[in-house]
Amino acid sequence: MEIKSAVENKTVFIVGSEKNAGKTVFLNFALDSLRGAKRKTRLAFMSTGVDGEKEDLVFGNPKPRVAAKKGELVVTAQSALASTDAGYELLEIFPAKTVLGRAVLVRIVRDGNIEIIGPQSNAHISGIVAALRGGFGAETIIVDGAASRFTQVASADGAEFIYVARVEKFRAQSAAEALRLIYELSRVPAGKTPRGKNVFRIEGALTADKIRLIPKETETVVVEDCTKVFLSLAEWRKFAAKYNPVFERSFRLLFASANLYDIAAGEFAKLLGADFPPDKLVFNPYAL
Amino acid sequence: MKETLAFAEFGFLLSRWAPLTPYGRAEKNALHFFPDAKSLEAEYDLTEAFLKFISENGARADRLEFYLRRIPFIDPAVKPADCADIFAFKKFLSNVQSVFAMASAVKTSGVKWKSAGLLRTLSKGGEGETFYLSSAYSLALVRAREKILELNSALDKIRAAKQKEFLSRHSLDFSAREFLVVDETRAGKLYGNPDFFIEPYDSSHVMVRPVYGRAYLALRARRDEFLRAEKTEEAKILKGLSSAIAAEAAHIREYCRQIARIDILLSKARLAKALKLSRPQIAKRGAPIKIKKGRLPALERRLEAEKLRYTPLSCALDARVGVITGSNMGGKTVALKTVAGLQLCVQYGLFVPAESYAAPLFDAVHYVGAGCSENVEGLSSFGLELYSFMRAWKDAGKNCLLLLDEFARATNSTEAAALLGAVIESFCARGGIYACISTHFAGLKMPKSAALYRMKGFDLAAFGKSGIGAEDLRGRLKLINRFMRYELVRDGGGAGIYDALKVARLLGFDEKITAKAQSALENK
Repeated sequence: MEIKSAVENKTVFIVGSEKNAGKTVFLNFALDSLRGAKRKTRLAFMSTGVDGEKEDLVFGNPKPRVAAKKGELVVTAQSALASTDAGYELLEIFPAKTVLGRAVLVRIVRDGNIEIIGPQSNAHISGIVAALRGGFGAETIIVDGAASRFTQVASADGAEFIYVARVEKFRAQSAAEALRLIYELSRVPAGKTPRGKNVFRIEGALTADKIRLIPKETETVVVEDCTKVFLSLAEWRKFAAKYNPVFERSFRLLFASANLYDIAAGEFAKLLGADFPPDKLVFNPYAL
Repeated sequence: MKETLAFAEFGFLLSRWAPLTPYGRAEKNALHFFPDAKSLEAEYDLTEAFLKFISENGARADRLEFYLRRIPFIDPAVKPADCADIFAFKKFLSNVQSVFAMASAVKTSGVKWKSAGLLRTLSKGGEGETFYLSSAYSLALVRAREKILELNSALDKIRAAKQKEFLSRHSLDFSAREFLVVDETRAGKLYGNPDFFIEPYDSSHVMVRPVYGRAYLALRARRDEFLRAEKTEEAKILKGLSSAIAAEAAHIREYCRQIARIDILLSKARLAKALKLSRPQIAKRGAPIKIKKGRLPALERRLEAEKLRYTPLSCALDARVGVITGSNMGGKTVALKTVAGLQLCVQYGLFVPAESYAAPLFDAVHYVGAGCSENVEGLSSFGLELYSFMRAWKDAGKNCLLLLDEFARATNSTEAAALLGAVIESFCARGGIYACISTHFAGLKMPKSAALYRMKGFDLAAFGKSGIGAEDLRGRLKLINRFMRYELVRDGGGAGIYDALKVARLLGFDEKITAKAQSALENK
């Protein structure tokens, strides 16, 4: 799969299955793929938390830094500017607060490395993405998601996402089920809330308990979006077999990137199932 | 005042009064109450000037709004500490300058721009509202940055050459990757090679990172020295810029004030235009309140949405104490709400939703009626009403407007009427107070100085002629709306208002019961 053509001119969220799943490594790879293209896209990137810092603030693991190139737009925290070796021009301060101060937008004027620290609230992320695309003319926006949070995807309607999974042999089955669930959720039709007698709308999260409260005659169940589904793959399949699920907001799974540990690609693909589309899965792009 | 604002549905106007800057919004939220005519007339003169500006210079007014919207919040009392703070000040000043240039067309805006020099200093990295700590600030910065670029370029070259070598000799492509995950058997021959740093990945793979050599590291160390020199120089420049900004704190404080004024006046003018508000006349203390086609915009919109008729209020409340009576659903409360809304507009320096409105200024406007007091443990609705009244009564010696809607409605009618009569008498006896009281009690004892008004009520004759009927509640409400005359007229007193049974019939109340009530009334 060519990363560049999959990502170009879109707002793409990179979300991880867990902390240290390899999102930032993937971000750097995606950025480099875009930079290598003949026609340069006006590129902007940001994070929904803290990324690019030398050490992981939670586990203390060494973290990859995020490279920024001349002309790119970067959203980060005011305090992150003190430690960057990139040259930058300040374009905007957003009302959003990050864990390390106000969110600022800079245009890189000299290549360097930068920590990307962003706001965590969906509303703020949405506002910044809209500003990047509107007033600042960004064509491709890449948002590095925080930890295993998935809900940030919900903040930008129409956004697409890349799911980075850490797959270790001893829990490959659960990783495959999680990925399979995300794929199946991304295929649920979305759009205008259908109306009618046999339509039931779930307020908030869709949980096993709430399924029990759905009226008997219900045919279609409306859920806000896929981030509100708190079910296992088996529970979801049972639910989807009984009702027609509809999401009010859609997202598209661009593809998943699986970083494999002690498990072969073929073995993991088998766990995903033969009908898992190959164009929705890439393996660690750093692996030879 | 919160209760009066809620009663007058003032939130409708407030939500449409939309200043564009943080300073304007703060001033709006503070809701300045104008107690004197001089400052209020000055405010109205300025609002009128901005209204004229909007009408005659549409494009310029739009540009003025564009720049106002871009003004960020800065605190002139806090010295800027870093690049982002200085950016905020530059953005502020850059837009303030543009706002002043646009607003200079309004002769009365009184703006003065005194920071051209400071803005020039902050703009060495480029015009506009962005900020770049440009090399133009210092020669030392020029030197450091030139060296950094030179060394970065040398580092890139070494990296590119090494990557080419790794690719040709080991088939390892590091061009878009900081490391590679390699099968351990394949990585075997890389162990001991100083060109690679190898660390475990999983039980059968390793992570291979390229090592670019001593020359590369030496160059990087040298580049880092210049990066540190750059940071030191930048800090020095930022300190200078910060001091330059701090030195103009007084001007900047004044700009914040002037921006708030321009923003408030422009937004008041926009509001006046959007809701067709007019300049009220400020009358002398004790003068009557005169209303011509006064509107309650929130209700007007609701009725419009329901395709129902809205009747603006026209009247002269020519006595200090006025009592409004009338049918159920006849518009007494709406009349009172309209008076409250109009007077609040005046007191907050806004134009009014009326063709004309003349009224004196008050030091306070109080409302006593349903839903006017937060719940107090142990008090019934009557108790709460009394509690509210007592709070307002404290101001009664002052120059205040009191609006009483259906006072004492929650207690028995005999005592309620007696209480209300006593209240009216006390109001009349006390100076300063200006009261507007709505009630459905007929035959109240009225002191001579009080005036009695009446909502015209249901036009039975017109209804009878029309021959229209309705089955459902919505249709019946429409009928009431159509044939109820929501006009306020002076009443001579004496004649009771007997519309309750008409309204009951229109709402579809049981005909037998209504007939019984009618007969009981006639036999009395």
